[in-house]
Amino acid sequence: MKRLALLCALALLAGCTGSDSTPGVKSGGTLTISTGGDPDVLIPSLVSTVQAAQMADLIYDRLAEIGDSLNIVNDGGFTPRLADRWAWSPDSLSIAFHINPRAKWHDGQPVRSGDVRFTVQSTRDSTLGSPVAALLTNIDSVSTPDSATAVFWFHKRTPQQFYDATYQMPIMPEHIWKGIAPAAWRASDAARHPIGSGRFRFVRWTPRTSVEVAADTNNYRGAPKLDRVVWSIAPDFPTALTRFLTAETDFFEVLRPENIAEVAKHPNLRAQTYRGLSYLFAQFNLRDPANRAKPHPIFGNRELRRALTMATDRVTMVRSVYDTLALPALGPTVRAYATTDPNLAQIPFDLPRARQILDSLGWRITSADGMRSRNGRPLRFTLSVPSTSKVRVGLAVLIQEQLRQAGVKVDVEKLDFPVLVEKERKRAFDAAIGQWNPQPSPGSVRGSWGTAGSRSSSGNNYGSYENPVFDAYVDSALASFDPSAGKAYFTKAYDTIIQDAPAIWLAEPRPTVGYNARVHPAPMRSDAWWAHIPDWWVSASQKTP
Amino acid sequence: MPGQIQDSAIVSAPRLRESAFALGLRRILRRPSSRAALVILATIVLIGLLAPFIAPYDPAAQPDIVGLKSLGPSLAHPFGTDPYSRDVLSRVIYGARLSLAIGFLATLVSLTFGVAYGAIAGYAGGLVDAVMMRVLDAFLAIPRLLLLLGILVAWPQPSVGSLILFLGLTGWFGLSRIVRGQVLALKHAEFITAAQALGASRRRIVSRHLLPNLISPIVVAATVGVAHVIVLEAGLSYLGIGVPQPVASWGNIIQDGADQVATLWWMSLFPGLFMVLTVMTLNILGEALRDAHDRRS
Amino acid sequence: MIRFLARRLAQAAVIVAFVGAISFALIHLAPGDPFSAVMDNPNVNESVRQTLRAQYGLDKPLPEQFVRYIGQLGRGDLGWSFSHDRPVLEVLGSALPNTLLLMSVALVGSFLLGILIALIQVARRGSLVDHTLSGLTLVLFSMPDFWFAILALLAFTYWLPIFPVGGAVDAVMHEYMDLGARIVDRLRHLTLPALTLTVLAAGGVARYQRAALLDVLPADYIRTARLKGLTEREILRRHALRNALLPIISLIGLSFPALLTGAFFIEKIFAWPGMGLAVVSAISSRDYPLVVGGVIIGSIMVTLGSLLADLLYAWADPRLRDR
Repeated sequence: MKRLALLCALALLAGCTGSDSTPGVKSGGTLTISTGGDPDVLIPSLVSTVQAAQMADLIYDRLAEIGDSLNIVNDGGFTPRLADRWAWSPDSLSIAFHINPRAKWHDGQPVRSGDVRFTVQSTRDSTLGSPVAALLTNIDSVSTPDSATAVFWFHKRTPQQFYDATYQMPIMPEHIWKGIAPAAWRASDAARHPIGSGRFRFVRWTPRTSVEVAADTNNYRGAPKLDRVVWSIAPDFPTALTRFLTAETDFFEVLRPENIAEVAKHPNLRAQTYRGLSYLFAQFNLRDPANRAKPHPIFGNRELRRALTMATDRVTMVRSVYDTLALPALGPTVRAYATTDPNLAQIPFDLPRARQILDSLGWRITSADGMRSRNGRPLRFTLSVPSTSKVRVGLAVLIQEQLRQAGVKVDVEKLDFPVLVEKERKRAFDAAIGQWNPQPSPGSVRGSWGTAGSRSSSGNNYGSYENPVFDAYVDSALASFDPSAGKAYFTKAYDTIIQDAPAIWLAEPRPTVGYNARVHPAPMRSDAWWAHIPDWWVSASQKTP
Repeated sequence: MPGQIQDSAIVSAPRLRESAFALGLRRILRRPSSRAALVILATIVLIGLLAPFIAPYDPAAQPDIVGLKSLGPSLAHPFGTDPYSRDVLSRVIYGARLSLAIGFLATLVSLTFGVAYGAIAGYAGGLVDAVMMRVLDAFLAIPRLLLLLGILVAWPQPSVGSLILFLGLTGWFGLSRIVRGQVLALKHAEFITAAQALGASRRRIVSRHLLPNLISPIVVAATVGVAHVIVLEAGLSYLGIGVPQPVASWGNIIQDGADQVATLWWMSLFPGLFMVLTVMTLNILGEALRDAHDRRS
Repeated sequence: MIRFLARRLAQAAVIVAFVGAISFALIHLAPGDPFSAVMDNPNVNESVRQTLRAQYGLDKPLPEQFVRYIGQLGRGDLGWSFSHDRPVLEVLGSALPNTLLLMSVALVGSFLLGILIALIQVARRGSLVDHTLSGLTLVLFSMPDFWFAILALLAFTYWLPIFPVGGAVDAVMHEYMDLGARIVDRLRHLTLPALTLTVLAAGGVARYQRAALLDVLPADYIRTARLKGLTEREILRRHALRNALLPIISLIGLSFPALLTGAFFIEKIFAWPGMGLAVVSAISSRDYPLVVGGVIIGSIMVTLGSLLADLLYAWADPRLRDR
């Protein structure tokens, strides 16, 4: 008995130094996450909702995982996952990944290099329609000299080669998917029962109710500390939030400022802010939605777009909607990137000047209610927002009123999220409040604001902003191995796009999660707060089965 | 004052050719509950009509989106402010204007259609009547809210005008069946047969004999109809498919605070109270009208 | 009786066919192509697209599309739901039991509660109790469903958290419960939405029933009963209530649309996974077939409800049966 007590004391000491082996305290329990919608699809290469990303990241493993610093140059900071080691070729045009021999799929099959090759091939298969495919253009091919080695071959040497090969693609099991045509993956039975190699295995998905994953006890990287993670799916975010506030669930990922006051009232609830990677903007469609060959009758004019930006008081708007939980956005970027200059010059808020510009462009106040028109065409447009995002609906109503002050009539259109995205993809919108959750690489700006992303039908540059000067600066920045040169090029690129005003840059939120005090979360990674869920734990005395 | 009204009623009772309307009104006003309802309703209507003069602020203005947002009731803002710093009292007042206008106009649309359809069916009779009634049965089988949802998914984001039209076009089925029944019954009534025998023209029969007898069921249906439309419009706006921002309607105001009902309770409470009060008075008056009509016939 | 039944069934079938025609009109009167969102969506499977095209015969002339559409409805095919990626019938079919449960509990509950209130009122007619209850039922009758539901949600899940927040079961724990606990879990989730709908509907029932009872009371046989020395309470129980049974039955048929409408809002607010929640969410996702399918199913429910009421009426009133 005495020996046992001594052991426990030692174990406690060990616990203080952060060892994982503390018995009793740090193992088991269920984490329940409140969320406001079903995942779209549990296939990593097709995931587009944040819920699905969370689940897929726990069920599947990548070859190597990015470090918390989100370094993307070469392999600095990356830690082994399915690959236990890797080797660069002397010319750096290929990387050989060695698969961990103990790695197994959840159905017991070993993970082999063929799975890696299959994942890359299928992700790039145009019949699958993966949004990731466009980011893999520098990968030439994957060869598999033996079942434990997968060699990535690249077209050219770039700073982000390693990141390109690992970050975008959790590895999928070839033996499950090879018999199914990629076009049929989405609707397949296998998509409903995903088999991965991550530290959690899929248990069940009850649509509109819950998704459950459980610890993979025989995992090659060891079992996670939690027994189970369950996403409790509410039909909307207010219900999801209430479930969290009433302690029905443990975790809620998008607290708003007014919720934080609520959380503070409950002794068992905690709020935690982490550094995020997202920014919001009101994007203009620079092309006529009815005929893409023509410029947009209103937004085609650069001066007019600048006037609209000048007419909106972004700083106050951000404070109104977010209080301290966001900063005004700088441009199509976030402050977390080392390559972003936090003092980028902005178009200032200047209502009188905005009115002057509108007058000089021929948009004059004609109607009794102070609205402008030109040659009989009213200065009026539709601003589309996803109905589920209270923040974006709120920003839209604020913009509506601020632009009314300048004589511009805005109709706010609330759409279901998929419907809005569809409208944007088809370039069939006037203006929309969007949010990008960019990846750790600032290079994603190429797809969302570059010419390439505008011309390709699967590109994310919905507003069709095209400026070769901006493209050239971004390309130069991405090709620079020298960080300060890269930063200088990015600054020039951002200056260009900010002055062209293809969007009103609204906010850069500081995401805030809420959790029940019985849960002990690990540090939250900027691009994915859930990345370290396998290391979270629940106090033993407060466990639920 | 009520005593005086009653006195005059007694005095004028024997007078011949007293209009059905005056008679009905006097019957209704005999009940204290209807008198109260009428006063309250008149007040709300007046508030709506005079909204620009009564409302302390512009209902769409966002005076200070940081300092004045989401404030609870105070002297400066008796009903509080919303998350956009707009004054909820002013919005409720303008909401009264809009909700009542929508209720009234949509009911007018319903009445026009319902009376026309019912009168045609009842007057024509035979096969025409049979077919028209089967179509009506089908419309009556679709709950009004569902029919509206079906329409609004096809014409999303309606303007106030089209919303009035939709609400009106989905509200006449019950009424037209009543009208048709009355027309059928009256067609064979003795005094009509007599008029026909005396050689009165069709138009004269319709305008002199049919329509006056139809008025009281129509007035009853209209009163309750306005109440229905007000509730429906609020419900649709609450679901986010009714009146667009920044226009204030009672349902809209509640929707603006719907995701924070617990903290912004004033945004649900006050417009809701106004709505219940309006609907209640309309129901009281509708019931009183019906009773008055029933007793007469 | 059988002839009566057959006639009413035929009538109901005609009504449903007309509803089909109305829904067809709804689809085709809409500006633009209601399916364009799906047809151009690269994520929608080619096979789904082809099925849709074939199903609605979008290239065929309108009359042919109409015949095809009605034929499909006849076979119980309501089309494909885009937002759920499943057949509409499957989506609504899986949600329907929840809606029916909510509605039937509320139907029974509101009639019991409503009749009880009416009886109390009539037994003490003219008294303060009567007036107070009249006021109460009027308020309930005038209360917008969604507003009352918001207040109920606020009161009993937030200020006084005795009920769970939304859903039909505990999303996390339900799978780990034994049968008994599962039943309790379901009941816990059902109580608040069902109670809300019950109370809302009871107002109308009570008002209707009070009037019906008062209509019966002056009747000759009641006067006779009174002369026979029966107490007021006995008269109410033995005679008046029995004779007011017919209006109750016809009220069942009448209250279906209101109950269904109420259920739609209640499901939305209490996140009750029924047909209403599915249809309401389908609106913002522009899931046309699902909304129209909801219109059709809802109308069938209402038609069946009034059919049921008619049959009950015929059973309760021999005069009608023999006709």
